[in-house]
Amino acid sequence: MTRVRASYLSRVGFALLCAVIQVTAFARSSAAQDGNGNLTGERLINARKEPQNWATYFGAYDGWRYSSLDQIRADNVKNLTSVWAFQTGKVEGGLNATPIVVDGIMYLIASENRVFALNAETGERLWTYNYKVPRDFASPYGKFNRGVAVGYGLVFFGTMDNHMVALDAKNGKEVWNVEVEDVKKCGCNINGAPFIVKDKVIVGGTGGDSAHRGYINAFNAKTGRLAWRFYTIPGPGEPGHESWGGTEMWKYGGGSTWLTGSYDPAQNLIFWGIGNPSSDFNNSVRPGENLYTNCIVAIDPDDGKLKWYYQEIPHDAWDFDSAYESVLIDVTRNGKTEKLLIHPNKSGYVWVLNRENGKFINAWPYVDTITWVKSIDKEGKLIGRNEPEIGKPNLICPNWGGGRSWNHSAYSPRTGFWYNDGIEWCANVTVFPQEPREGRSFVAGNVDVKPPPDGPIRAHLDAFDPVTGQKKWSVPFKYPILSSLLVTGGDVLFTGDVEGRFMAFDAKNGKQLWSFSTGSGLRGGPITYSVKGRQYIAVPSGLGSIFVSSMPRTWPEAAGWPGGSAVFVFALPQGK
Amino acid sequence: MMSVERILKTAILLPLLVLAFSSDREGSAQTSEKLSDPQFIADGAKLFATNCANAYCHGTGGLGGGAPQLRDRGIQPAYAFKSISNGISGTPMPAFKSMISEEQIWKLVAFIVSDAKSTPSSNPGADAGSSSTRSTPPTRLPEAGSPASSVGDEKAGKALFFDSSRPKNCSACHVFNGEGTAIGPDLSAAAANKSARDLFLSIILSRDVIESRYATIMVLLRSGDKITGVKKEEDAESIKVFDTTELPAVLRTVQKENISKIEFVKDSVMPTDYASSYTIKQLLDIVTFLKSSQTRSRVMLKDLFQ
Repeated sequence: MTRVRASYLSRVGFALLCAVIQVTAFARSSAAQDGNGNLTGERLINARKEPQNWATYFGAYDGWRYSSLDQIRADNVKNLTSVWAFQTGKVEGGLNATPIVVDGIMYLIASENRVFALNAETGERLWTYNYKVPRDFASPYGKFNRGVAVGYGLVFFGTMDNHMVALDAKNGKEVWNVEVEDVKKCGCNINGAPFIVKDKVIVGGTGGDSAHRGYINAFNAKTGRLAWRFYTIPGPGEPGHESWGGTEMWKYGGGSTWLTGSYDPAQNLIFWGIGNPSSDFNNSVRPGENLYTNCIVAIDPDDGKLKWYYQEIPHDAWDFDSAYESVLIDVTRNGKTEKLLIHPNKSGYVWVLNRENGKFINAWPYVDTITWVKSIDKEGKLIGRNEPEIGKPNLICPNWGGGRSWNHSAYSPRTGFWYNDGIEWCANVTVFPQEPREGRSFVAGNVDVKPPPDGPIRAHLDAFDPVTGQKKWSVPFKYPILSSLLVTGGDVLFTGDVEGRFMAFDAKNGKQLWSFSTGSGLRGGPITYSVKGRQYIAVPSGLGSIFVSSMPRTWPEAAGWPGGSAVFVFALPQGK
Repeated sequence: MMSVERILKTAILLPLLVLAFSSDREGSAQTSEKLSDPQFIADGAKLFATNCANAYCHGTGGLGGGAPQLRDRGIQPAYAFKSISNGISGTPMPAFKSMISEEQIWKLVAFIVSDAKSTPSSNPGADAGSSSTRSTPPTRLPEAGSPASSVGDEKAGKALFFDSSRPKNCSACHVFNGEGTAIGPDLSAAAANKSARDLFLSIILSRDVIESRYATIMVLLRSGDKITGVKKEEDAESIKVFDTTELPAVLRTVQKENISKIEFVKDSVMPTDYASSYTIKQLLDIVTFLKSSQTRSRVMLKDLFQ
């Protein structure tokens, strides 16, 4: 069967390849643009100088989800018109990805690790790669994928059965493929986007709730050789091992790395948010701080060595991953420029750290309803922890779904605002004792979603001062926002809702300026790019993920929301 | 879609299952009566809470999470029993028959088919407060006594076999009971038929490749590069090779047009430094694990040498 498909692909591929050559020849406008995903480590470091591309998962290494493109502005965004759409063909798992655009070609990954290269101007499909789904495959972490990395003429992604794969960016053919760890044994896989730092491709993994010891892996981008592995739980004899109280839980304690890190080239450090310890809710089995779970770790990308760490929530009992994005900003206060790291956590708090040394600067709440802790003091200490008791239901706000889901925030250097969404919700959490079984669910608690004490479950989209947390504006929503945010040099903020509306807001004041119904909820990452001087906005549409599949319990109407898996692309009408 | 699938499954499986249960299970009539026993349901609720109810799976009270809602859907007991026992292939639903007893599975069934509105979801730890909240302390490896009579530890051997923190762990190249990477022979059945001594020697000594499908090849590329490893598969235009130059192996897809020559190499790709990279106790543990798939016999250190 594969042979048939391969030869068919080769014929189609040849015809398409001719098309690619024509298109790319046309698209080459500068020496830097050599087509075929040939981003080097150097070009990626300078991604902000090539705003025509959306070169990395977050747009650039700083984690901003910002583009300086400004053809589409707050005063003309109402004229946006659809240019093309692309259907990936399978709706199970929805479309969670952020597309990458390099030199006029869009690289998109859909559920079951199907990868597409598209002409970013016309939507024409250049090639398709279909991953061979293992016959007996099963993972609680799903078949969806959040994105590829593109560089050195290769397209990199992790797979639902825990492989790393590199494709030839020219034709979508597999170049190398490495199994990271047997999915049947570890219960872990890869659905986060990798990112390229210099000559390495770096990727995290899931498994934080399945009795697994987490890690970050770096592969030599060209050869696929494992360059280093950073275990998020120190082994015997390593500093931090004592924070597991002498128990065996370091082997099963989670600390997954399921999203994507940021990179500061000036310091040559990558920053990665580490997931929750497990068992998630019963923390009595792992006495101690449980390093480096719920930490931001700063790692040398050349050798994987830890430079500093900061633990936001020691000895977690609420499943509050620190896995979310690290937003790197420089802020001048009192005449002094500080290199900061802004980090939203599932717990409803944002941590502000000095990214040169990991020192705590501030922690402020981005949701109103927080009951797991009373406050966080000036040193970052958690005051009044609402610790669980075995067998006794306890109302915890926000619940383990988070004050926000994993979909990412955005930062605009123009407004100086940090944009984020929030959910006001709680859950009755009942903790029970559980023994670990490697690779199997190790949660040790049940979560019964409840509204907050002061009203119904609700959500909001907000703009904040990233350091102080002062709210600049807020727009209420009925349902959680599950799409990542995008903010542009035209001061437009884009995101979408779970019913499929893709929306534009004035980044300065939150006024809604434009909306387009895509037909299925938005769960991926909208981006912007330009080809031949025309700015485009692309948004993945297609509801599906772990969060989404558990929505009908709380919102019964969600059971009727249609799935989907498509990219919609917009631009201003030409000649205007 | 889902419900049609379910109806079809139920329509096909139910008569067969009912037949199976009525013919060769004596206690089945008694069990089906128990499905409405409040105590049976309550026990099932507790089991459900700790085994099935997290949000990745069927949610609190079986009302849906990442996996489908189970209660108040008219699920047939026989179908539920079969699915819990054997798992559902192609989904994350595991087979529970090796983890809990048949009676416990029936208790789960009783809870699942009970009416969700009249049966509140359980409070899983409600009666657990009195028992220890700490997990039992880890069992320590048995201390080696008299070296020759020291006994291999199957569990420790398994951990070593699959230890992904070691680049040259066994599972990087061998499959055992369906887990691992199939570069060399599947060891689940093959190993059990060999003596402990043969297994020990085949781990520590360099060896010849017996089966041609595991032959070592060297692929010379037109670019001048070469890849040493084991062929996985090939099609009309490309060949997939496990590059074993360093472990874990990298599976490379090479277009045939880029290959100048493929040569066979006599030596196996298996590393030859296990005698120094593992202790004798660790090797004994690994051999014990390999022998475990068929026999339950103890493997002692002296068995490795005689």
